[in-house]
Amino acid sequence: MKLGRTLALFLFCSLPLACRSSGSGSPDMEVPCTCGTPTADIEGCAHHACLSGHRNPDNPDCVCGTLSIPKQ
Amino acid sequence: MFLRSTLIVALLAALAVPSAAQEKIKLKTGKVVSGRATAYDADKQILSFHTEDGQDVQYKLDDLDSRSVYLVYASVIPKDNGKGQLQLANFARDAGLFEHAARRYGYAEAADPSLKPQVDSARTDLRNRAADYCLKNARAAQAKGDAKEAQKWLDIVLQRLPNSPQAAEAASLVEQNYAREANARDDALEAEHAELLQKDLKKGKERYDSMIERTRKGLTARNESQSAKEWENAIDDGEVVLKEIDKVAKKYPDDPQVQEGAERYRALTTEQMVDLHMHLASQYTTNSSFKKAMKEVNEALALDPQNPDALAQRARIEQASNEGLFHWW
Repeated sequence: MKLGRTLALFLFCSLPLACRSSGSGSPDMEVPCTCGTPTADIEGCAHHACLSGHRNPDNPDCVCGTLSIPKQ
Repeated sequence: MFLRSTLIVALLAALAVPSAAQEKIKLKTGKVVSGRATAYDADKQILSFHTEDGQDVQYKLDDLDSRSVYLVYASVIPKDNGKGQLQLANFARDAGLFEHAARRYGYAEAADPSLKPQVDSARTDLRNRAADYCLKNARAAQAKGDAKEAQKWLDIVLQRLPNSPQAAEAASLVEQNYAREANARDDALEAEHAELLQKDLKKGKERYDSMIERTRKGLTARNESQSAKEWENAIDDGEVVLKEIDKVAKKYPDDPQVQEGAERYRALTTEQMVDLHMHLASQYTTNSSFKKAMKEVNEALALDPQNPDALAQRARIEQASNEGLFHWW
């Protein structure tokens, strides 16, 4: 019973993390990632991750942010 | 019992972490590889990558798509390395990543002010190439018969580089096509509702035509204040048109044909007014007048809350206000 409750609590708490890249909630988060389109090449992408200097992991054409390359 | 629950939670959390850390790179062949970068050898220009199916692969930068090459360079060149950022900006410019190039030129200049002459010269080249790119896209859209898309590209050239040779060509294309294409949008409606337009919507139609003409004049005006004045007057026209449409819709509440015509005219007018607010927002953003720009974008969103261009522009303006500058070429 207790285990079930703990699991339910964990799944509930991890929901926001799981939904992080799909974006919803604030209106700006509704702006899709347009990296890779001619408009974004000129105007820049207005996706919330891109604007804050991070890469959108769902879009392979996204070049905002960086790769995490461990230092040698 | 408590220990067991904690262990299960920790295990689930550990499982969740690698999937969140997945990165994607693109090869020249177009193939997308998921996984994570493990090392980069700058001398040999080799990226080591651990793929999601557990393989350790090495990619020469020559094997990668130019966007992924840019991403690798961006990951290893620090922001405070002025010369490195200048080279990276030039790479972005050559790869057609114009907005990224503009951003990197800014970093280069901030990191090493002595690079200013080189950055200025590179920026001139960037603007020239970006304007050519916009004109090329405008012509391609026109060839496909997509007037709205063509107009979007012409607007960018006209608003950002009003004194460039490309802007003269863009203005000429707008002069030739804008009014004709905008007026053609309501041709079918005019034919269907000729009587109504003559009788009840005469004033509305006059102001609609005036709105289109003023939009065109604003786009091709040679100075910004003249453009803004034309667009503001065009918005006033639009508001009158919407009131006239409402009057007609109220006058004939049981006539489905009138109601349908009113709805379509309302949509056309609203679309034009959204464009006008966006033109103004773009002009204000270019001049770093972010409050005014935001006001215009909000007006556009009040008319069309889901408009993707307005939503994107609002996000850009918010970011630019926070940073105090707008990255444009």
